[in-house]
Amino acid sequence: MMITENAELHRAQRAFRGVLDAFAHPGTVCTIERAADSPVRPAALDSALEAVVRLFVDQAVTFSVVDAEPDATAAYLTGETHAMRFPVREADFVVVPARADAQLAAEAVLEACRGTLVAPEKGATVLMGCARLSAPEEAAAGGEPALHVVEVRGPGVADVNRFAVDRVEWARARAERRDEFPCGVEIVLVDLEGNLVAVPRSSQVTLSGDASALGATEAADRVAAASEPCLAGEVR
Amino acid sequence: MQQRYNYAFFDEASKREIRRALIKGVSIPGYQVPFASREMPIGRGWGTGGLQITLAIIGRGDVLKVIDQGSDDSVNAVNIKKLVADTTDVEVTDATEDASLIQSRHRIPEQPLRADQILVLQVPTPEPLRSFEPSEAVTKRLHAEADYTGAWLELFDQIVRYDMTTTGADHPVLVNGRYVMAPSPIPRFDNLKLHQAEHLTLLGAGREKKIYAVPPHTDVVPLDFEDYPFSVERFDGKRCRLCGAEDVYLDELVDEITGETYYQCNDTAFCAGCHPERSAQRVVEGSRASASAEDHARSVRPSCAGSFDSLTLAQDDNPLEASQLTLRTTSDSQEGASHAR
Repeated sequence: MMITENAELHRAQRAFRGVLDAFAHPGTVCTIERAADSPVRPAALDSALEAVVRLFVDQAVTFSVVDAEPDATAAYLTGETHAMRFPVREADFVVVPARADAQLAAEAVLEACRGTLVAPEKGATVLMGCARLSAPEEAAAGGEPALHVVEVRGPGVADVNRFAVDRVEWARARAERRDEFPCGVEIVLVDLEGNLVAVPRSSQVTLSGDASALGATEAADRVAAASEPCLAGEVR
Repeated sequence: MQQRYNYAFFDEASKREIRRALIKGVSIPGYQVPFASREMPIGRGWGTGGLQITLAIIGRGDVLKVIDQGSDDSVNAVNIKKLVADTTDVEVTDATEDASLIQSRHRIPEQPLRADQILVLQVPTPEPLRSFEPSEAVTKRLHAEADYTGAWLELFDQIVRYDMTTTGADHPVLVNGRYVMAPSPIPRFDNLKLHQAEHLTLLGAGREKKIYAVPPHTDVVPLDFEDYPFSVERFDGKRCRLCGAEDVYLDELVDEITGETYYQCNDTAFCAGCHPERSAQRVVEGSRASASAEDHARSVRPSCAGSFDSLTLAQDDNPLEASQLTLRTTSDSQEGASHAR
């Protein structure tokens, strides 16, 4: 039997397996190949983020771009994927480029659709670019004090998974949402190099070394999670 | 005319649809994500859900194993393997430890799976409340409200009638403390393998258009009552006549001429010695034919065509004709095998 294939198809398959692995092991850093260089790609959209967007976004779903100047990126993605651009609250996929400032990124996470109890799969997936994403040991070895260490617990995690990232406003916004599981949003962080971390709605997220109310709560303790202001995505 | 298929059979848009459902399934453990199930070149109900997942995730470098009722060589498994191998360039294998992707119907391999392996299960009826409530709209609401009275009632009804839960397979489980899930018709023996597993399990129901998943390190607890604890099939005092294994799921076979009953591993690859640590324990009576089957099964095969003969080899060693053997459904005593929650 004859097979037709191309490099793009295999790149997408490898990238998807990376993302699937990241979702199966929340908080671990996986690496995906970046999209091929394109002269027409807008400056706001880096090649790694575009690779993730192309994995999922097509004419069957809707997307939104949250950025100071989202129109060029949105027009490019519409042209490339044939997906409809929707307001953030209604979009299936919310794309936040790495250059979007903290406030915009937080708003994107806060406003993203949570789905319903009957159809929780309608909850949005936030694809967020960031400048630097790594395992905490690498971050420490590289002397990057500006990185925040995030701890993830929940399904897919044996004990606790940690990763270092340059932005954490998404985590605070995620906690602020106070979604009732199974409603919620998935967050995929991807840096310029193609390092990627997935934070599904089933995960509990805390900031390591953060003594404030945001990070101090023992997230594994679900009773506490329900009653205290903490970074718990799973509140019941 | 030679038909040209896209790599892994599907067009890329179909793969994206299935991949989106997979991601939501993994994010909401045990929840049945509806998806646009595709028409497949095999009949619905013959593994189209599992096949669609396999085709959506498979790629170069994967090594595929397909089993059906524990056997690598049954018609369903062979044909699924052929379709995948013909439309991709992947290797297929019988050896569980060599596979990166394992599609299965009705069993989880005896050998514990690793974190880098993915198990794909074919599901005929994904809705654990279906026998209680025929309406999909209503069962969706019951899941939303976590109202699992129907699942409990069914088990209670069995206890009232038979003084035990009589789920031969597909015993409902509670996943991550939230969703009651049909684990596909795996025997109760295999239910415990899903709990806090190292590997990712993806479940696909093509006819019912549902995909769901159990991530690694996730609580999967079979439903049971305090006074009627969950128990698995037991094979006390019985062992596989080929390899002598005792702690595995056994098939009961009857020789119709002599009336003799004997047992054999249900997982044929495990039995044939694909499991290296086991080879030392193998009973010598397994003989020359079994040994060659073992050697044969060890090698990863580049193509599946005409090479599924390890079971045949094992049977050739038996003086009886295969047609004289009757496979009886295993329904052994399950008393006392309570499982701590």
